Amino acid sequence: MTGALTRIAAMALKELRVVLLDRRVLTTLVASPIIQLILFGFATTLEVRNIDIGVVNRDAGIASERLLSATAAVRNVRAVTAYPNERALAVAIERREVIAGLIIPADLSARIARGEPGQVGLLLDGRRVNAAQIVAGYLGEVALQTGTQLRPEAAVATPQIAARHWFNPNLEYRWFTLPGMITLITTVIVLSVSVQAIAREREAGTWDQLMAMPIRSWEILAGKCAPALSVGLFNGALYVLMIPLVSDVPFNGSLGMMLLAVACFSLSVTAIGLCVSSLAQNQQQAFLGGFLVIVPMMLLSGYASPVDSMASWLQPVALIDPLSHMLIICHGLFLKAMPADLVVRQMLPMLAVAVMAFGLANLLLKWRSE
Amino acid sequence: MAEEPLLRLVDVAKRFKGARRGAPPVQALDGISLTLDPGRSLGLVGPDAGGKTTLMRILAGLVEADRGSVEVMGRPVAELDRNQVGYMPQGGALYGELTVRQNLELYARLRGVEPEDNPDRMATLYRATGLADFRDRPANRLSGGMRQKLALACAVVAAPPLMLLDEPSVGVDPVSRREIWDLAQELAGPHSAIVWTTSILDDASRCDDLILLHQGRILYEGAPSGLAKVAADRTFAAPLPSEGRREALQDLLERAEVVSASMSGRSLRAICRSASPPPGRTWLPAEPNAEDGFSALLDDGRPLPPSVLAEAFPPRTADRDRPAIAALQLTKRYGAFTAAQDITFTVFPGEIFGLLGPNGAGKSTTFRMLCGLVTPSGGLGTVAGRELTRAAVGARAALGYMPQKFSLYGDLSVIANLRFVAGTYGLKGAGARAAVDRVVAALDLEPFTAHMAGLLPLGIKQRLALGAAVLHTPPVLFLDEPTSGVDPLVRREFWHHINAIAARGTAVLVTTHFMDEAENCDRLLLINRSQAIASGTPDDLKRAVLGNPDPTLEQAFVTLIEAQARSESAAA
Repeated sequence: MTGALTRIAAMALKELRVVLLDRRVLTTLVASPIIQLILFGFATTLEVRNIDIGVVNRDAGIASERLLSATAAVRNVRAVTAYPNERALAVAIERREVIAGLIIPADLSARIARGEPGQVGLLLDGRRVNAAQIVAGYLGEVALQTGTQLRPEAAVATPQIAARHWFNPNLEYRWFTLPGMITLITTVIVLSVSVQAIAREREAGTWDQLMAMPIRSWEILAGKCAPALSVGLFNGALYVLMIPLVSDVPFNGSLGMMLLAVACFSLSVTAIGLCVSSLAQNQQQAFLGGFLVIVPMMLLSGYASPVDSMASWLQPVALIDPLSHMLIICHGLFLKAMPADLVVRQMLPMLAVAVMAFGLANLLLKWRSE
Repeated sequence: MAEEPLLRLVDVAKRFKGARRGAPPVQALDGISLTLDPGRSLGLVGPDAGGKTTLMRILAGLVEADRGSVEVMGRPVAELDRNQVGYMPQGGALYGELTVRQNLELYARLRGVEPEDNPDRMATLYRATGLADFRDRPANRLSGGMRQKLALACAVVAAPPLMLLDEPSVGVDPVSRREIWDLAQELAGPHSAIVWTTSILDDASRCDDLILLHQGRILYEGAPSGLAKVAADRTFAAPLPSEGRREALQDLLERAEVVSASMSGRSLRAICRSASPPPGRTWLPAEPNAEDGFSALLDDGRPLPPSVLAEAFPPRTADRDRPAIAALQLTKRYGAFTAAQDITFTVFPGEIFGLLGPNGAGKSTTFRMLCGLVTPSGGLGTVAGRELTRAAVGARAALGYMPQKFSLYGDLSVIANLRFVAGTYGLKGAGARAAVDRVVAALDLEPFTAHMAGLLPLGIKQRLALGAAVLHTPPVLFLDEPTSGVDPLVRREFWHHINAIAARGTAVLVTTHFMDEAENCDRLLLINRSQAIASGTPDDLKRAVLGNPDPTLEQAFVTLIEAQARSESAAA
């Protein structure tokens, strides 16, 4: 057994030298996550801001005036622009000058004055589904409030909802995206390092020499985890420390649990990368193979769309995606102090994936060796 | 036209910075002056890391000299029209996935030769290289000799006036080596000049002129015959004893008065430091060749010390009569193609067994089956009494393997490579350090320890690979062309080590293209076209040459291979 340890250590040391001591590689591995953190953190927001709205207003009365001023006062609305007719408005939507168009009929104020229900037309740019839905929500709210102000007596007595957003009181999207970034960027970096592990040896022709040495395939794989694992740990730790420093996202959980989770997660992604690498004959195949697994893993993770909203047959598949568990842990430990037993419950599936992927890589390696 | 020299170099120098910060810079070239006229051929020889490749790269305009002037065709090299130069880098520059035809046509078009418009030239290229039947084979599936021929053809597609060929004949069998030389002559234009670097003096002797570079300086310049004369009056031959040939050679090499020694035909040859022969045998003066001159010129005056590498091997005296390596009807088929058929031989501890044969004959396949790298289609191979399948990790520990192609890590330093290999063989701590230090010292790797292995000169890479194979002092050693690309003096040292290691009781299986080296083997197996065609001691093989009382092994090699070709064509 000490023989196996010596061999694994030799392999790990060699891998660390090859991957990490190359200055260019090292720069890329350290600099790129920092740049990505900044870009992803501030560029990817699911919030709809800077909304431009077009209006065709045929009503000169008080109702339209109130409605428009209330619309313009909404925090995320940047501009409300008037258009002479529906045709001009349609062109503006088509050219993406505005995302939504209000069409106010000439009799709006008159109808409201008569006590009849008022009607306003709303055109939305369906190409931007998510944003359009949110804008429709904003405008519906604005219309309801304006109506209530104009005719307080007609307001229906609905129960008052006092909404309080737990864990993210101001519904800041950054609080959601930045902890999620740890998962996504660590995946990209760890996978791109680990998919090269075996393919590099095959391409360089060093595989033959290795095969004539008394080192077992699982020992090779174990040693080859070293660079990807250390890169994953380094980046994960860097993010956990940096995010509370550069942004207002709080870190409420246990740092130790977080690092442990990063380690489990990196291990599982590394093992998946090794599977891909065992199949690849050269580095280009390895790179493309990595791409093949990374996109589905991200889509199934629940970052872009919640796992609960996926097709029901897909949801069990998402369970074996280590990203989905890591996302839960990231959000849990950042935004709420997720207790250790719950964190462990998410870590176990990741470890199971790691063990299975490692075994599969070992089988593939033996199978592909001839 | 013929009056103006093609190449004119005056006092050229080039210095490279050290391998890492603080290391002294390396003076690769220092005060090189030479001229080369059209129609002439120039052989560049010299020890490993002597500056041959740097000089070639300067001539090709790929590296700029620090000092001095380089004129190609009367103009500074910076203004060189690249179409006028056919440069074949070391190992060639082929696209492995592309076929022979695609490679050739790609290089033709890159040099402005449209294949459709020049059918004659293309036909000449195919005929001269003998690659017409392999047009559609990917370049990485050609044998070593064919690959070198294709690389050469690609470099000189356009019959350029200047041909720069860097080690075109490395790793190639004697027959193909001669063919590559003829090929270069044939593909050259009428006024083309050839610059040819090589570590094989036999090849260099075919050139009109010869330059010997050592530590960046010209040590010899002139006709090849002049180099041989350096060893005149100091070269002697004595009859080879029938028993203990290796011991006799070993003893000779370690003598203070001997520069170098070798076996050739039925005689022992020695180049001495003075005009008197070594004591002991009945020595007669012998005709020196270029290699003898090379050895005499580069003699550092120190006697060859006993092999430190071998001293680390524990003496293995037990089980001398049980085969260490056994191949029993080993066969490998790839689809319809048979790479090796019914290869049978045994190697006993303390024996050196040589596999000879042309490139692509099946030597390496046999080798790789025994190492467990290729699963045989039939037959059985055992090493140290165990079958070497993939599972047999323990059996692999008994094996030291030096592959034909350099297979260590190019992006690691020499020392890091050795440490890694030590670790994979389970050596650790002080034991690993001692093993690595021993190999570094024995193979003179000290100046290169911090260098990236991938950037080393070919000969140094081979030393590193040999060192890696013997780090763990295995009872069985597999050496696949250990000396290809290594200069003559180091070749002598390699064999000095190999002989001494065998003497400790290690079984050595070796392939080589150098027939003078094959003389070191106890027994030989000649493989051609996937089949074993002859086996026995070197003397047994030489008996195949009728009508020559003292044939060399090379003559035996050629005779036996031609005999097989004749009998096959008669059968067909």
